Amino acid sequence: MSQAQSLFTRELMLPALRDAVIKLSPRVLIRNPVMFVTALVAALSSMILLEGLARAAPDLGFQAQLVFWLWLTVLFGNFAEALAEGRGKAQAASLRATKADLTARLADGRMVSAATLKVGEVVLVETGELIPADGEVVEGCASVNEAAITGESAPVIREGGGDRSAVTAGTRVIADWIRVRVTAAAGEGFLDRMIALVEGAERQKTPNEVALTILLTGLTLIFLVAVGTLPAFAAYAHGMLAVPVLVALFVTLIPTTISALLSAIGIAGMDRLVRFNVLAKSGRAVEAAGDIDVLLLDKTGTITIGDRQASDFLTLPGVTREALIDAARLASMADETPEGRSIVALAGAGAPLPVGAEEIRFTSQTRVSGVLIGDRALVKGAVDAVLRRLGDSVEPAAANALREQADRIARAGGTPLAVADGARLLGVIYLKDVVKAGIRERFAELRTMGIRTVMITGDNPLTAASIAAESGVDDFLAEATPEDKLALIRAEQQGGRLVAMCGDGTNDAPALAQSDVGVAMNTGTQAAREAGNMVDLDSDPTKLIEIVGLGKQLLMTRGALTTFSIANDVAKYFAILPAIFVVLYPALAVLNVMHLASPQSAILSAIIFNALIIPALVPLALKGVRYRPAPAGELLARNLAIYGLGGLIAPFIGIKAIDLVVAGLHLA
Amino acid sequence: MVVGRFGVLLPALAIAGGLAAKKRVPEGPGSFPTTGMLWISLLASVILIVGGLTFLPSLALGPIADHLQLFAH
Repeated sequence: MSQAQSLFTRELMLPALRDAVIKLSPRVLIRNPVMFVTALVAALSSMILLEGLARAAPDLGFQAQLVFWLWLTVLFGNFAEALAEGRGKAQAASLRATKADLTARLADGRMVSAATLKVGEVVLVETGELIPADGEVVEGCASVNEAAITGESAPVIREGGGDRSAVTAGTRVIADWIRVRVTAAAGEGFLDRMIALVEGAERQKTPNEVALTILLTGLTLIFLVAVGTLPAFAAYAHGMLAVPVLVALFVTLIPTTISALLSAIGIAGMDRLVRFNVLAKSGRAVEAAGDIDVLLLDKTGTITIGDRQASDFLTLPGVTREALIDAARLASMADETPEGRSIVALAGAGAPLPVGAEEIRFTSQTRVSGVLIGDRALVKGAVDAVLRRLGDSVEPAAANALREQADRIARAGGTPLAVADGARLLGVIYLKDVVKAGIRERFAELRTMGIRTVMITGDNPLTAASIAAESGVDDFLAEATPEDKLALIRAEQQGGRLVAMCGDGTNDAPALAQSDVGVAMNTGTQAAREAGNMVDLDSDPTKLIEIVGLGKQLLMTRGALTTFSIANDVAKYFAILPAIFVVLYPALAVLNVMHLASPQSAILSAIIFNALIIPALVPLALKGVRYRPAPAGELLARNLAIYGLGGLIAPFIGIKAIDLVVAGLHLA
Repeated sequence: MVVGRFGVLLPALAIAGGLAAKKRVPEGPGSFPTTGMLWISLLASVILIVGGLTFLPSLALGPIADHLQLFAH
């Protein structure tokens, strides 16, 4: 329940209540046609009530209650939207705090306010200073604390040239200095856009929302006609229908529930992404994520851990396995790289390095590393590098056997590392790209959701195929260049499929821009961040999988509440129709299946239920329906059972309960 | 009568045109199967509920009221 409580804290509720009243302005309401119509008929009923007051008509108490609940329906709708926006605003406020009063040092040493910086100007940022504007590092290298935007307190390296050159306004240089060329003027930077996004200021209706709004408006029109024809029927039966009663019927029938919650659902969807440290540049991108057919995933960092790990020792003829393992372990003891540590771990326990052992450091010239114990040199390294080091002293037969083994490992997708003790070749260490734990299950999950995964790698096709088989991806693209990636995305899109990918480098930018959902890593270049339609502040490429889930959850929440809203109408008919017409045709009383106390209490109960269901569903709209990966049919069947069937039954119970209270309090 | 006829006909034609202009999406493992019982019951209940909601007021005052009154006498 802690989540439900956090939705309704006092700090969020009070401004939301105030905003709900402010949003009664027709200019705001017109954006939501159904709620606008509701407000119009509420205004109409208010005028009729005032006119009735003026001539002291009877039955005003009932009319006044109807008018009260009609306005409350509109206010509840506004409140739902205001509450969703309020949660974003609370986040924006903490962002804005980091933006206050930034100053910049220009190339000539002058200090100016960040607000006056222009695109293309170069500023110097030194230790302890805040970076005044978004830009690209042109010179220098510094560690930068980006906690202000990512919440991650470990500093990151930012340097000129390469894929880590983008810096963000409001982040702090904690060591060294950089020169930054400004790429965004004040008010247009990353942080500004982020604030605008979480506040919902830039919110535009997404295609899906537009389509749903058209459907709901169409339904409203149908119900307008259906209710509009009733006075003619009443006239035939020599009766009269009061306008407030028709208004009540009309408002309960039009899909007020989903219309009131529609924008709240959208805002909450964006908000869930922001909480997940992913920034979507538009709601459209979030929706597209829910409809993705193909996921392009980079091998390194997403599918494999990224560091190669030792997985086996292969001896040459005439060498014992123990001798190889012992030599490999000793040669790797001083090696602090992940590869070296993995060799020691695989070799298991053994004697420590003897005192006086000297480390042979890896250099880019020798390309071998190891230890020197006395005059015994234990080395490991790439096969050709080790052979070159040993030179002519090596036996030709052993060298050939070594090459053969190395080839076999390479074909299987691994990296061979030769080990030598003095002039004697011992064998090879089989280094392997380690597939992340659990990734196979994730891909199986995606497959049940109907999403195809394609692994992108620069490796040769053999290595790629072996890793693809091990990780369980559906397909792979080996020796991939950025152009290949772009071509693959275009080909999939030609076939009508939606493609998602993530990337960080400048050469990823065209593919990021072409894909339907392009997630740029925050550590990437400015070009990549501009090209993608989402930015992952944690720079974790695995998140793509969760982003798809969040997108699906958003679409499902919207669908579930629409179904619920329309299914509700059935019960409302059974409440209101007999109530209205029982005067004209007493036999219609049999349609009063809920046995509501009186016609007036039936109408009032229906309109009260219609209003109260909105705040009751706000937590669901903001949190989203429960989502777990499953095939489309299974998910639909489950949600139809809950929200369709539930939507049919719930109002029968709800209206009956409210009727008992209304009748008990003698309200009608 | 003209509105009753063409007011319904024209939007339906517009919908057909709109659907024809949409790009085709190939059937994939993520597509919703449109051959099972689930689809049949979904389609049937949407037609029944939306149709029912549209015509129930008129039906209640016409045939249903007529029927109930006949039994009352």
